[in-house]
Amino acid sequence: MSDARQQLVSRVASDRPFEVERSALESMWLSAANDLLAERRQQIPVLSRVADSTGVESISSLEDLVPLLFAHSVYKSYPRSLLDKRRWDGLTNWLDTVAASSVKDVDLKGVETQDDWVAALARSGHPVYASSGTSGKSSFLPATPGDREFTMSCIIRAVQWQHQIQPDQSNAVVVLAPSQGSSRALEYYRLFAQLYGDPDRTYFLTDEPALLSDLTRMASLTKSIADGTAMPSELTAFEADMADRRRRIDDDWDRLADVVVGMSGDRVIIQGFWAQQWTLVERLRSRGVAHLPLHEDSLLGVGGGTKGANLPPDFEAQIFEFYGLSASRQASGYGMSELSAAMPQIGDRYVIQPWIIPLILSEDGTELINPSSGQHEGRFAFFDTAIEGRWGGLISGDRVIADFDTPNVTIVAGSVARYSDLRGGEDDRLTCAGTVDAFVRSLTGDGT
Amino acid sequence: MTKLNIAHIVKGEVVEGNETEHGALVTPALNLDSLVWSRREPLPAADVSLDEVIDLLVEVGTRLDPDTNPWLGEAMAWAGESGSLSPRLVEESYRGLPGLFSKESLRFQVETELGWSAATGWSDIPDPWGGTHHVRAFPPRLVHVVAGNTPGTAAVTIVRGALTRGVNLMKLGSDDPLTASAILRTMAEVAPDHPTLRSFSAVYWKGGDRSIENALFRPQYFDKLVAWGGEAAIRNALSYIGPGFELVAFDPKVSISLVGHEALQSNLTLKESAAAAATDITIYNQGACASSRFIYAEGTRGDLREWCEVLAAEMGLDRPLSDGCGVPVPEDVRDEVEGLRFLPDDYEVFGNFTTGTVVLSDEPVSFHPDGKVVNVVAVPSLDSALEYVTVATQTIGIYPRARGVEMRDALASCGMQRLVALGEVSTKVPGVPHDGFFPLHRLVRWLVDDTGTI
Repeated sequence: MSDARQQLVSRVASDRPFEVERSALESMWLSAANDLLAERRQQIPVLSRVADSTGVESISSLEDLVPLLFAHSVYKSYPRSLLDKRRWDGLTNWLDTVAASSVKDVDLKGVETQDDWVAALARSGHPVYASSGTSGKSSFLPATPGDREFTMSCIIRAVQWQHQIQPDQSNAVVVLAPSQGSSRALEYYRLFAQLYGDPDRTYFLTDEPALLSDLTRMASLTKSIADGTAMPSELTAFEADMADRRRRIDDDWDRLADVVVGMSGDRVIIQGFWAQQWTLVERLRSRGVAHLPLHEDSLLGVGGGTKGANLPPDFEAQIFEFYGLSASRQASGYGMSELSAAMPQIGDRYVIQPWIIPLILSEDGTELINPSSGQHEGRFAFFDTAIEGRWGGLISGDRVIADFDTPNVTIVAGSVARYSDLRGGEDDRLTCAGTVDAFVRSLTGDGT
Repeated sequence: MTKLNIAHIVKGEVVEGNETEHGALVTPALNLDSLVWSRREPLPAADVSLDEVIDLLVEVGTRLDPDTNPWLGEAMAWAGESGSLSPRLVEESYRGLPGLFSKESLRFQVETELGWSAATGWSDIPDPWGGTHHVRAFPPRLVHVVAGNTPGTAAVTIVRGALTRGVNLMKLGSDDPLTASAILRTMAEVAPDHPTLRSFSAVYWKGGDRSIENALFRPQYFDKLVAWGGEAAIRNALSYIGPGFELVAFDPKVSISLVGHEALQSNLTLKESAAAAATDITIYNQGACASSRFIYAEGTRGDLREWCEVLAAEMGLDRPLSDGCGVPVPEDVRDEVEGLRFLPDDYEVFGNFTTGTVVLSDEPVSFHPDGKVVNVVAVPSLDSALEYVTVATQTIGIYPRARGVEMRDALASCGMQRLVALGEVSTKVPGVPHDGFFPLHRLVRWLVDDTGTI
């Protein structure tokens, strides 16, 4: 690791690493980015192609980084037919094109599903963070075991920075998510429960793993409906399975609600995205519990998008009111699996770690905005100098408002939205061109 | 963003105003009551002779020259600035409008789709038991949700509405809020207060606005909802469909090409077939339902490489209905293609995102090719392409044309709606089936008077 990178990354050891002035970082940022470009373009085929085609040989300003940033979709740029045909060797070859060290030594024996494939990679020393996508295609982010450890060590400290809660296994912890699964969020919940939770008072929604292959199964069936090869009995069988699963999840929520009802007055940490937090409150209300006052030092670990979750506009206020908590009793932040460390919310800002170079771009992702002062809206992108397993430069799909008047760049809390959501709704264009998707009525999954 | 203030046409009259804003579009306030025609009153144009209607349309057609017609000129200029097509293509599409108003075309449509006698009045049909029935293609009450990706849609809607002689409420899209009004204003200039003109309204509201649509889309006011494309628009329309209120959907579709091994026979056939394929792919810069997106070609990938090279080059040429370069490739398509470049064992990429991209593979790609991106799929025989023809398949261009006969029944069974020689997709004429039906036939109400039966 080069000097500059070493200096940036080693700040992780300080108490509050995000409290460094931008001016003290900028020269190290450029130097670290330069070293990484030279090193990674030898290792990552996709980067080498991008660098060759843009002609960027070195980084002398932050602008130079922009054409080298990957689109977030790069990590799901494999053809879906590899999943449909269970071509794990093909998928491995694809992963190799975005990974900094070869993953081809993975042992694929016995791999039947994406989940098996991810597990096999992890066993071979190539941990991969998978995140599910709507099209049935998940993103796969290659990492090294060191990356994984580094990331967890960072995000696990957020509640210490925010609320001075210590990892002393003394807390009642409720996790509104499965205890198993290969996404980064689930790994974080597991580790959080282990370090902060009192083993006798730690509860997960379910032990049934969240499987990537469930989504793929849905996507494969949708494809065979579109192709005209699916038979009606396959549809009813699928609907019945989904209905079963829904019933199981329903039972899980009931079980968890039983536990939480008994926690009235306790100091509890409830971890889960907003949509799940809302589900729990609704579940408790449906049992006639109008309020469930928790100890005032309780904490809600929240986050996540709320699109499609059908939440009332004041869901946040309702949730805090339900537990009798002040709205400050939340641990939230802005993050994505592509970052080595999420940005915890401190006060009314999401703060950025010093080894991550924040890049605020024009909406189309081609121009760097990063001004010297003021608040500016733009597309969030970054170059993360801590990542070993893949290229650290990425353009997100998010619109943010960034504040350049704070010591380092920060993001205004609550300002994050997806451009794709912002654009939706205003469009009233009609064209005769369609896709086969229009001909596939969606499966309800409720057996009706 | 500059705002565009449009006028509404209500029962043939121009309504100006700027009371309502929809993003960049400013419109007069809607008076919902003025948008329906009472069933208690006769339809304005029901008894106008069809010859008179055709003469009116022909005269309108002669005045649809954007150089001399200020309304059409404005529509064309706006479309050139705001749309995804280049000003040259926009102009090309506007200059094609008069052709839709030719006497031969109008008479041919009535003749093939309705039959002249049923279209003009109660037509006698004797039955085998000695009775006689009087059948009429009765003028309908239609509400049209008009697609706006080309001006032809507005023109075709007006032609069909006039020929069926019912009443027509056109709900315009934000991508073409001007063409329909321009044509109707031209009609007003030709024949002010003509019953056909009074049978048309063309207004804008935001598609899906339930407070408006739930009030208007009812059988008491309209017989049929004519919806063009757009899955969301059609699904939205469905919520209003019920007894007495029917949906006529021009479904959103995908088109493909079939290329036989004959294409590879000689340099001549190679060039000819690749040029024809490029023509069909790039119709309206691949923005139309008829634009081909997948080409199933007989041969191995090795056999087809040279053909793909030539195809990619042909896609970069300016054609009457396409721009040689500069068509934006959607971000997701771009990402997918970039990903495939790293899997050379399964996918080969020819061309580029500026002039056109060809992906050659043994199986269709899993994304929707768009922005002048096409997927050539190598198949051992055209029969093996049948598995890729589905209910979503609209037009199939085939090379050579002679192979159409051997394939057409099987293709039709799989879902195809129109078969055409490769390169001739855009030569579609009115008067033959469109999207699986005769449009005029579907639009009218087929009524019978049995009092003649003995």
